[in-house]
Amino acid sequence: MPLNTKILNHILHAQGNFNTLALEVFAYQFQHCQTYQAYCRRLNKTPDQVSHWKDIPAVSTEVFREYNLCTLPPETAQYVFQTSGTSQEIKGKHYYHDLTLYQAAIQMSFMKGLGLKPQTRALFRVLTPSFTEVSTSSLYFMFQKVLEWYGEPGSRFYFKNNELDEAQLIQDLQEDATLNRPVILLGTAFSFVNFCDYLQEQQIILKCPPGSRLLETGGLKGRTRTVSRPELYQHFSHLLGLELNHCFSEYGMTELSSQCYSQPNSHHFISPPWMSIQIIDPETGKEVEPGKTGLVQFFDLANLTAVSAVITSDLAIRLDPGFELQGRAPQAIIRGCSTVFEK
Amino acid sequence: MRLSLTSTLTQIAHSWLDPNYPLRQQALDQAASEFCLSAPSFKLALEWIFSLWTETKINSFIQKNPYQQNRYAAQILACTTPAMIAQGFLQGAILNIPQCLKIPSKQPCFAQLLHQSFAEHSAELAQLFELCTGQDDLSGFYAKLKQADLVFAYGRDETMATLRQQISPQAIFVAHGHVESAAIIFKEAAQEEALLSLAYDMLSYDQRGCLSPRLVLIEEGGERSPAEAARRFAEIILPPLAQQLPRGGLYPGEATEILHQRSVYGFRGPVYCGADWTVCYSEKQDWPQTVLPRFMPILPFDSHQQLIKILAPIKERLISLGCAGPAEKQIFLKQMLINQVVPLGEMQRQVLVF
Repeated sequence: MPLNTKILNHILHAQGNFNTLALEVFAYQFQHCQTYQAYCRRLNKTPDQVSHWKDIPAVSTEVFREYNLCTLPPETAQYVFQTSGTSQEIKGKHYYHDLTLYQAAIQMSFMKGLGLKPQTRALFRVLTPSFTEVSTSSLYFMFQKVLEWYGEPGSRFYFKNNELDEAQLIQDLQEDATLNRPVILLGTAFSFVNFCDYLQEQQIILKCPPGSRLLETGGLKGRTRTVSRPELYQHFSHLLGLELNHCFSEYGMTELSSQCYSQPNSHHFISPPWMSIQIIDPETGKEVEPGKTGLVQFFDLANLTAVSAVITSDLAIRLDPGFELQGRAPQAIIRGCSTVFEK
Repeated sequence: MRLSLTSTLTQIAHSWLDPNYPLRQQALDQAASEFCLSAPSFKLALEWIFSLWTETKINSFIQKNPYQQNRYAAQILACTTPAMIAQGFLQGAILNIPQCLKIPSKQPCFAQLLHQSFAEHSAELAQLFELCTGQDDLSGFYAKLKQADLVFAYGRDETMATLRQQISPQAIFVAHGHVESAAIIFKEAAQEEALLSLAYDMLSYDQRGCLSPRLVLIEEGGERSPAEAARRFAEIILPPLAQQLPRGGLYPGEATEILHQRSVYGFRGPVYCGADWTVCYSEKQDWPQTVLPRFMPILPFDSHQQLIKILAPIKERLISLGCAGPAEKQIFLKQMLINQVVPLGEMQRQVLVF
């Protein structure tokens, strides 16, 4: 059976053993991604030397900026998702030749992540551009697919000319409230911050009907200010009339093909069964004890045609199961004679 | 007066070189951690710093002092190495005018001990300095900054721009923006000796100072290939010295960045890691994006043209080059690029006064 079919069966039907599949994935990526192979050889960690998924060499998310980590020729990719960042920054790229595994991962986890049955249909209000507008974003692709698969008529994106159309969104949410029609709000954390700021400025309080849900994703450090998560969730409750236990967070990244979802009103994330997590001590490179903080490292089976073992710059406390996300690790600043003078 | 100043400064240095000097002991106990240095590294740093305060050097600085007409100075020492603090005091003493010394708020101890040491040797000299950490309030410092007719400042370019707005338009402003250094081993160099010297330049100050080499360039055609020299450096030469001079602590974010950079460089070529150091061999000829402690990329080069090409993008901020190889090549570099070209192993033993 081809490896991608085995993984698909694992994602859809929990068939096969994770460790066995992970080792097969490693052997496949080692064989077909020459740069990764050279990296593993330098670390003396080749498929015949590794017997557990935790020992498979992980690649920094930074490497995606510099190398095409791809088991197939990048030029024949169907989709190329790019990391976000300013136009000056070099962006990481994830090449997809086939989205079967990626889409299966979304299908098996997205609605479940919102505390709903996998195939539930719902009315979506999305506070981001659509994938049609920004065709390099894996997040927008996911939202667009979710709307295609599960969206009831009337589900839509509220970004126009690179700006959130607050007036239309408010009008639709007010109508949803009048018709007692539960909605699912999707967006980046900062798109919600901006929307809540707007509601406050306009002195508008919305009341989403019971059963409504919200899913936010991404960091809370904005271009103009940083907002705490409890503060943001209070806004969801106060300004949008959402129950806090219907507010969820998604944790994903361009470099990966699967996502983690939080428990309601928390930052305690659980990974799906086809993606395993280690929390790594950055000083030793080893897994931390439960309760300790380290960097989040994934092994994502659905990342078959890239590299599955990826280490991030996100800090989390190791829990059992899952992890509590703490945010981005602080950036090392330039020191020595270049230390910033304290103003 | 000149003799007296020189003699006072050499006496101060002599005290700091004496293992039994109480302030030195205190500094070793209390000040090493404020620079994130281990005690052995800090001890070596003190020895290197004060061995440079010689009568000849000090007299030469006094003679070269171009600021004899100035009346009040301010020095902003935004840095994390003890050498920069000591340099601030030495420069201030040579200026021999009242001045305000702004020291980083998180690194007050060494500066205070040095000031105390000045007072022990000459109350008159110590009184020239007013120390400001700015821990609570910087308004007093800004008031003094406005009075200064001579300002020395070290820091980022943006910092310099901010400070420039705070000083009197008539004041002389000597701004030292973000600068970096590199090491070069030419093919003619005695490679083993050069690599040992390089180890000292890398380990002392944990590469935290602007005079620490940020990367090493090794010329093809030497005793060993650059790749082989990198391997030998990491496997044979560096480890015993790193054991004698362990790295100090890490600032927030550094461990994460080291982990990521080891991965990035691991795609470029071999990465050799100790418990507290990293050596990477890379044929990608770019300047490191990050400044990390005890993290040394080694790059090969095969011609002067290639060397110039590698250094060109950072020429403006390249302050010093540590070199091993024939004098004529070092002279060439001096002419072409850099004003400070020093022998490898001596990169941290420079005094940059004025």
